[in-house]
Amino acid sequence: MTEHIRKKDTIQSQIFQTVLALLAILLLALYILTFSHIHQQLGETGGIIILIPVILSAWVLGARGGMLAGLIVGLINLLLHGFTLQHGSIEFVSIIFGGIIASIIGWVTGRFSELRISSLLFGVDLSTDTRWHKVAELLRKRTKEMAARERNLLRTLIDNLPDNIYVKDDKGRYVINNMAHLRSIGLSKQEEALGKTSFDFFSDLLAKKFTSDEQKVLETGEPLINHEEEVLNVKTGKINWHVTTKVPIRDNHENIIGIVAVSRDITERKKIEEALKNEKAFLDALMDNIPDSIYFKDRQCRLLRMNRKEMEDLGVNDMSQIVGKTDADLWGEKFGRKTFIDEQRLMKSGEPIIGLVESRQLEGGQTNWTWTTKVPLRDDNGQIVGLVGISRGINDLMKAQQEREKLLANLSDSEHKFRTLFENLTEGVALHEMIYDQAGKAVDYRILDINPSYEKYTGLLHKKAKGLLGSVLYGIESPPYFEEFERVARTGEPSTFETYFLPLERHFRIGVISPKKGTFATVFEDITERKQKQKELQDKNAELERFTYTVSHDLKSPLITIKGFAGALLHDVIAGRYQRLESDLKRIADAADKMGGLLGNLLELSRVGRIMNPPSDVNLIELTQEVVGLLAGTIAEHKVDVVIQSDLPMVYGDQRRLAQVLQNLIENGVKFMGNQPNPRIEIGTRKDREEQVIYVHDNGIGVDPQYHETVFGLFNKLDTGTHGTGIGLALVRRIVEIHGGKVWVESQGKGFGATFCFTLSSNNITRKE
Amino acid sequence: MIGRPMTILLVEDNPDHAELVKRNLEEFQVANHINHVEDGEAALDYVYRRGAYSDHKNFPRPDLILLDLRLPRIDGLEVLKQIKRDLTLQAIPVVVLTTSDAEKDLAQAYEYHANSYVTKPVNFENFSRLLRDLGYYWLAWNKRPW
Repeated sequence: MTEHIRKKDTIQSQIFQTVLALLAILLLALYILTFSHIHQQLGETGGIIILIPVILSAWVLGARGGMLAGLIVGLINLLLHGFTLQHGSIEFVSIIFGGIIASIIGWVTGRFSELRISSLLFGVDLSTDTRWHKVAELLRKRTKEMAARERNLLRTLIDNLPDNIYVKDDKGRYVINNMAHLRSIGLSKQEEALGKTSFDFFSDLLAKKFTSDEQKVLETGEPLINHEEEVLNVKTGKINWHVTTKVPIRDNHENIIGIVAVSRDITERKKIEEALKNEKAFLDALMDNIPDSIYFKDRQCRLLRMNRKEMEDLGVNDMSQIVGKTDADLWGEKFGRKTFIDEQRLMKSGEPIIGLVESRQLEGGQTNWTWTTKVPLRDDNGQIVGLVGISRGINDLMKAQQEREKLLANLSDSEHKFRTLFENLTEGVALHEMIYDQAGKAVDYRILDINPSYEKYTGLLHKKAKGLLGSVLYGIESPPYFEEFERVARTGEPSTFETYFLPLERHFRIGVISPKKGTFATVFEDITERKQKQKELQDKNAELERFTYTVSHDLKSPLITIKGFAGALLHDVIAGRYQRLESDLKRIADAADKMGGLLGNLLELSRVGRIMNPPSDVNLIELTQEVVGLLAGTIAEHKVDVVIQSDLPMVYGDQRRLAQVLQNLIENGVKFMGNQPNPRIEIGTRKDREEQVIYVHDNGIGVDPQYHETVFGLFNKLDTGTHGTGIGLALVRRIVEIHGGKVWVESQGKGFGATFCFTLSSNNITRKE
Repeated sequence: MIGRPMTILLVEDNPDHAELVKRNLEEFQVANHINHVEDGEAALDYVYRRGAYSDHKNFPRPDLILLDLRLPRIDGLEVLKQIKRDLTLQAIPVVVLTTSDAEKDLAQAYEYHANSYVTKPVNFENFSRLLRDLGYYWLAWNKRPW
């Protein structure tokens, strides 16, 4: 509607102006007609000019203004001219009347202007809405708009500020609240807050506090600036921290009519501050309670800060006593110089020092050991501004370490000893570990280490043996003595056994010990030679036993005979019986002879080996002939044909003993001729695989193969019917063995004759012509 | 003792000793027959009635065996062992009569179940008395199941 009228205004303004001008001319004419005669002095122009302000005032100020202006003009007219005129004169009355007319003109004009009579009368606005009026209207409107705009701007501004902004009147009632504040008190529209107080939104306690704060501002006029307060956030139900500024608002008369408050939520900042505070508290607690020394230094290695431990170490109570000092000041030049160099390098390179073990001499002469880590401190730009160090006293640790090192040194010393022992033992030693299957059953073993003697005995080299499995070494699934090894490795009970180890064809004495469960060591000794010696000794012992046995038996035997027949003889003589006298006496004599012979032989046997004649070159042919000559009687008695081969060698040895050998063998041949009608004995030589064999062959009764060995035993007689002491062949063997040879008998058995053979060591035969 | 002739088998390689034993036993008339063999082989042949000893009449089963240990061919202990191992012969009392007083022989002889072990005394009087006592004991006093 307003739009419509405005349009009409502009369209009809031409007409309005025209009518107005006509009316003005009409009034002007009337005015001139009425006053022209009394206005001669002033002139009509003056009268009109006087009227102009009235009309203008009416336009602008409306009906009352116009009337007032008319009166004023009339009054001025009266004042200017009334004193010069006669009261009651026509001029005087016309002045009064003119004034009234001017007032009426002013009123009418103003009224026109005000009521827009034209539009009432003609449907066309021919009102007083003149340009001036319009301007005033416009100005008013503009001012209003501007105010509104400013208000809007302000509103927008405050609404968009994150801070809470509100205005309260002097009764504490909200007048303006910005959006932030509205939100903070749980509202969304300004209207909802108007007229409300803090008590409507906050707890009594809080509201009272706010109110009292505000009251103070209202009363004193002193603003409250950056006041921190706890505020309940209605929406979240949490207490937030606000920093608030409250400023009094004054009216034009400097009366305080309210307050404006700006409040900022600093909860986050508070939280951060709190966190920082906590962190600092933690850090302080940590630093002051940690048993290590912690310290901060600047680029010049001067102490900036340190924890309590460091202060204790330095013996100070107050940090300020040592701030700014260097290590040289605190610990002496020597130590200070060293750390200064380290720290400067650290700050230059940025590389931390980690776990550095340092020592410093204390006054008491003790050494103080520390374990130190230092890292650079950087500012926001990454520039190194100093360092932080942490040091721990490690005196106890170092002491323990030194003791351990000493122990280790001793240990390695003893390890060395054992290693030396291990490597120089004549016994072969091998360390093994058992290998178990998943079920925990021992299935194999592995060689861990062997010593040089082991290498020597087995021919297995260390580098090849190490790690070798028993099964691989022997090429069989269950290595030799496995059960025994397994038992020792399991129970830890050592074991020792002697064994003939077939792969090496030697006798070993094997000791098995378990240094640790699941492992075992074998210590073995080659006892082959000992075994051989043992065997020899056993043989000797057996012979000795047989010797003593036989001596006791064979010497006792003739004694029994002698004493027995002597007794019998005495018996017979007493009884006067003489028929057995002669034979009994012969028995006694024979027994005595036998005893004598036995004793002689025994003596001879004992001499062999004990008493040796110096060896010499011996011509066996000559020697044999000599022996045969000695035995000529016996040989002739038995009608034996003795043949000496001409190729008998030259030998080197004990001639007398060798003669005994030949003599015994030839005698034996003669003795065991049996019923041979053509007894024959042949002494000769032959080559048996590079060995010179000398033999005495007879065609007598021979020797059953089962007695081939026993015939050489002491006192072993095969036939009781023959004479002899059973010493002869034993003696032969003894002599031959002393000459490094062997003696044996070859015979196909009874009735086939016998060949007694002997060799001498190669030494004894090299001297053949 | 009465009615049946008693037979002693003397196993002795030394003829002199055998003669002494025989004379003493004969003197005391404890045995009717003394059969003498000189080695172990002959002793076994005798008890098993082999070879020359198959004639039962001349070589009857002995009532007592006097056994020397040191014998040619087959050792006395071996003879003892074989006799005592044989169920048909083990009941025959075997008295070891030897020169040896070696403990080894003594132990071995008893291990082979010798019934007695005596050594030949060097003293003649003792020798005589031993044989007389032996004869009386084993042939007169001792009870046999046959």
